[in-house]
Amino acid sequence: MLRDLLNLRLYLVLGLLTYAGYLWVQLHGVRLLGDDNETTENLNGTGSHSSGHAGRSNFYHK
Amino acid sequence: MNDGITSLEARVTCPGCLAQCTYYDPVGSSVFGCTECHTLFKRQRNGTTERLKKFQDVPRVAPALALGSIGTLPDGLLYRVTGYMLRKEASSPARWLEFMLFNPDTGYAQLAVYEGHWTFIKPSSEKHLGLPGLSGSHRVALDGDTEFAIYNKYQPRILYAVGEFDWNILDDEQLTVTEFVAPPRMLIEEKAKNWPVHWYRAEHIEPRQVAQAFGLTMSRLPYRSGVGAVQPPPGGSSWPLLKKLTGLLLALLLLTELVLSNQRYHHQILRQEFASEIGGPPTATSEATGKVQVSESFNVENGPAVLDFEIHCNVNNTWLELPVSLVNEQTGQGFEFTKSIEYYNGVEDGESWSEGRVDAEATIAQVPAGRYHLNLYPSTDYNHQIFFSVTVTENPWVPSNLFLAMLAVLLYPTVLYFLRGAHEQNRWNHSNFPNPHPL
Repeated sequence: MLRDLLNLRLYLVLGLLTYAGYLWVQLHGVRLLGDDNETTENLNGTGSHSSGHAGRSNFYHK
Repeated sequence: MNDGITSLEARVTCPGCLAQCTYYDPVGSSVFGCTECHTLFKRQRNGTTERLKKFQDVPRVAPALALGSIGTLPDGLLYRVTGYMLRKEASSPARWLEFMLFNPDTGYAQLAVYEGHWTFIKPSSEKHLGLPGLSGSHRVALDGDTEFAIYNKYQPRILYAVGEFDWNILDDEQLTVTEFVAPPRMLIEEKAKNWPVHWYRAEHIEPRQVAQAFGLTMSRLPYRSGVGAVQPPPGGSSWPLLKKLTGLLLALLLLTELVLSNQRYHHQILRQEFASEIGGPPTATSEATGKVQVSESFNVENGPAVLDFEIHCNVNNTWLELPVSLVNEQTGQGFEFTKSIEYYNGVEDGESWSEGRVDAEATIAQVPAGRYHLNLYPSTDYNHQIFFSVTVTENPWVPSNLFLAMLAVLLYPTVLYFLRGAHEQNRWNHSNFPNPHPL
């Protein structure tokens, strides 16, 4: 048992690190996949709505 | 320590070439293979010798373990290599070497090597009867509670032998040998007409253990290929514990998810209807950004939070492009995303068709607590006006983090599971019997 546990120590450490990471992202409101935020601005509020939504007026459909 | 094992030493004269053959078991050894002329002879009780066979199939390469060499095997005992045999199965070309190992206190053991896979073999005094009702291809042998599945059945042929033996090895050609496996262990049954059944216990031994035991370099040992009959699969004996640990980690993740999702207050913090400006004509510069619309203010109470945005609109054979800015009214911090919504339908060749959707969803993470409003910049097709609603939910259930963590936890066991499966398949590909535990 102890020998098997020693063989698995790397998996155990990585598993516990994964759990700790999961706990951290959950408590800090992080979404690892699918965050739609596109902003590049900072806490000072510089930068803002970047228009550049071009192309729609040329939308083509059959 | 070596003195005890080397003190007993004697010589016998080969009747073929009169060479003096050294041997180490004067009490037990009765059959000898001459290293010089490859004659197998028997020493009678009265001291005379009788030729049994002259081997023609002399191996070109010296065996990995030299006669007389000493090593400590997995049972912790010191053994001397006193002989070896080159054997094959009567009905197949498979060849392997069996080294005779002798310890003056405990007797004989063997090391067998087939395609670089080593097994350490010792006699068993028990009768390893199988389970009733299981016979033929389903036959098993038992050692305690462990079931050994039938793996191979053959009649041996002796191609070559040198050293000393305490029985006439040519008699082994009358044997029917049956091997049962429960990696890393094996049970071997030797049966012949009018002879008692003999059982042996064998275990897998790594080549590096053999090299260490006899003080050899790995390059001296035969190259290992394929999967051995009792070679442990990847993960070895740790596999059951790995499954338990994985289960525990998954349970911990699910429990934490349950606790956190119950603790975090998820609720709707905004729902508001909007209407876009009527779309203008396409322009050469293609700048189609609409006029800004500002939502009511709302509070994010439990930051940093994940906010979920649901947009629903009445597009029909048109489109809506909606850049959205989430602005913190106290710090000015902003978050942005853009959603394009389009829905088209019609009838073509008598068949109705539709494509696109009338709703969209977005998620913004790590939003600090505070008071916010939305700036929306809707734009749409020429001469259309779109009505749309925006719903913002604080701390919705976001399973992606949980799924990613579970995936990370499952990655190694899953890879190992398939590697073990492939390993078992390779193992049983060399057997004439079916794998009792196919995937």
